[in-house]
Amino acid sequence: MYRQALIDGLWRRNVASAQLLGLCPLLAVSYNLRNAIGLSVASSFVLVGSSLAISSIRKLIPNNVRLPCFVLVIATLTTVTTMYMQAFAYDLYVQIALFVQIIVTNCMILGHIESVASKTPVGESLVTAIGTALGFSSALLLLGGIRQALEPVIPLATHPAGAFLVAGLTLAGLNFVSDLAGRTHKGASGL
Amino acid sequence: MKSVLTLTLLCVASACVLTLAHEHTKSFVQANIKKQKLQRLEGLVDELDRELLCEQGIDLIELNRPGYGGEMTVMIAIQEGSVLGVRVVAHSETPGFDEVLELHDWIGRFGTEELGDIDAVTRATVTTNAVLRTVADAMRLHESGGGECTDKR
Repeated sequence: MYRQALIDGLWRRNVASAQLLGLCPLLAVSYNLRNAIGLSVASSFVLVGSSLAISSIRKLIPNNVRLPCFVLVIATLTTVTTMYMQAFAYDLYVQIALFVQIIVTNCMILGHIESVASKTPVGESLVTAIGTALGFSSALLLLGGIRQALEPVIPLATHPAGAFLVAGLTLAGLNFVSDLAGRTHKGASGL
Repeated sequence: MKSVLTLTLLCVASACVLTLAHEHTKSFVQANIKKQKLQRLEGLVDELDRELLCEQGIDLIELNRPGYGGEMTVMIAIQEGSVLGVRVVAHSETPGFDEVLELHDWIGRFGTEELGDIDAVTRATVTTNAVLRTVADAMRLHESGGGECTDKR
């Protein structure tokens, strides 16, 4: 079951390519691999950490204040991440700090907390979070890699407009592969 | 009642985590900021200590002023009553602002041209106007100190 959750997070229910969540930092930061790795690590840490925290205290959180509680936990972890980046990876911090800070409002994370972590035991929500984080990171690295590789040929690829073009074509490619594989690739229509 | 208690406890826990993280990273962050400041000031001054700079006849003024996206830190070096150079050492403007500064060496025009001859840059009007105002403020501060290096600030 855990294996299935990981595979789902990476492919069938990949937040970026199938659910199209969390695209704002994804498109903004992925103009080279280095930034993509930085944001992947930061987002994964916040996602897994907040998932762990919320699911272990899920029975103590009253339903009517659950959103403030979720946002508080996510914001705390994001701020801690920002502080550590500022202390130990200052060059990266200068480049992507803005997008690390808006992890707080990343719908991928809040969505995961609301739909999984607040309802399931620690082990299961941890595995699902890791799957989701891997899915998000792989999408980010894929886009970052493609855009960095395209830069010498098509300079537009590293600009914002190029981000949408590359992301759209990559999504189309992924859906094509998934159709070929004969799988039912749900989502990607939920724009 | 339960919701108030939960939120309060969670806030306290969050504050504790943030304080610990802040205490742990504080010295590293300050070292990084100082290093970056010196890097930004390269070619202008090679020291951050105001007293040492004063002996070289340079008044280094650091001002925080609101830009377009938040506070920005501008450092202005003044020598013999005129601007020696200006550097933006920290800002939270739209990413890409640094390139606007470098464009045709806009920031380098301070020090070679008269203040009144320097205009704001189109597509970064608010930000560059804020830099211009900050430089004017620094000049006023410098003059009100009698043109000498003062530690009143």
